[in-house]
Amino acid sequence: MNYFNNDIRELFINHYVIYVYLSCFGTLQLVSAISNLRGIMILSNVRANKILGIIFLASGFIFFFSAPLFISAQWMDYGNSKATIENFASVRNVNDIDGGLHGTAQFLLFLLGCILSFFTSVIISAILMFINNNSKTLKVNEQKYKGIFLLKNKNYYSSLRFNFRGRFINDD
Amino acid sequence: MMIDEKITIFINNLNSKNLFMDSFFQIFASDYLIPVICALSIFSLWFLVLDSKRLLLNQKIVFYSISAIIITNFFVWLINSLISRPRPFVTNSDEINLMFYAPTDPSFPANPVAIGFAVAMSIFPANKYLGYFLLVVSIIFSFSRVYVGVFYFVDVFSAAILGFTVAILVRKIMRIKIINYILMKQIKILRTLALS
Repeated sequence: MNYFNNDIRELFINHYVIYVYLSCFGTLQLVSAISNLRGIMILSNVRANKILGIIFLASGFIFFFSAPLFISAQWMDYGNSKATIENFASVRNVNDIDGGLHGTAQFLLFLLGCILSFFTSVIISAILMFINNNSKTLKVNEQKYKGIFLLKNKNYYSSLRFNFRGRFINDD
Repeated sequence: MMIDEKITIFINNLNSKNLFMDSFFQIFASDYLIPVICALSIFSLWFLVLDSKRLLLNQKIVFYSISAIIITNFFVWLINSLISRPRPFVTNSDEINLMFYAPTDPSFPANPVAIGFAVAMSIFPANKYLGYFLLVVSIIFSFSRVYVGVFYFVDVFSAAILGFTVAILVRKIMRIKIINYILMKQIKILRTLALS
């Protein structure tokens, strides 16, 4: 029954992680541009960052559902081959007992994708801020900001340090 | 034959006529599309920082949505253990053309559909556009699940009602003082980590 189980499961895990990573990264870039969170934006231009976010978001979905067209595997129960236009939509519909991913695995891998995409954004943004010498010094009227709002002006590392020092004016 | 079966067969018999429609609904019925869209919507809500009031509401809604998913799963499990309705491709094997893998769990109510509607309804108060988008996507998802032959019409319809009910129930539960207090404490911890 499960003759193509391991091969397909391994592929599913790899493809699913790439899929959720790209989609989460795209979503994060899109939302950070909408919210003007410069601490996690990887481009300084808001509009360009939104477009980048949409590209990454779409590429995750396109990659996952079109990969069987370009990668040879035991998509169907007969031998190694690429999927065709006729069956590429159905080859991703695999039961979890036959090589698909069950709910818990999907949840954990999605969480992994979220965490990885967040740290990628934070690291790239910090490096770019450092290269551009764009790390903001705290202005007097910015002292009311705390928590995630600090990311509007500072990189994640600076925000974290600032939050841990507890230098907020109104901590309600 | 019950009216539910007639509607199911009618919708299912629309398949295998057009390759584009078949591919579209097979992708929509996938376990890896709508659940990911719902999860991404919840994820995006967390970082949607427009002003402090809306941020707090958005992040509370994220907790509501996650709670709604867990409670919906519990109710589906409970109903599944009480009512074990076979899948349409088992009961009506002559009329139903299965275009999906053959699930082994009971048909009533449709678990993924219930979760889709629970998330859509939970997100509505925070962001209407996202709520409407998820609602439309969940309706297409429900239709596609009947189209590919894995659920009866009543399964998806009752799942939608269950999802709505659980989302409203969760919002009421979360207003209880002690639960709200715990929630606010969690948000405050995340604020130190510059995440809320």
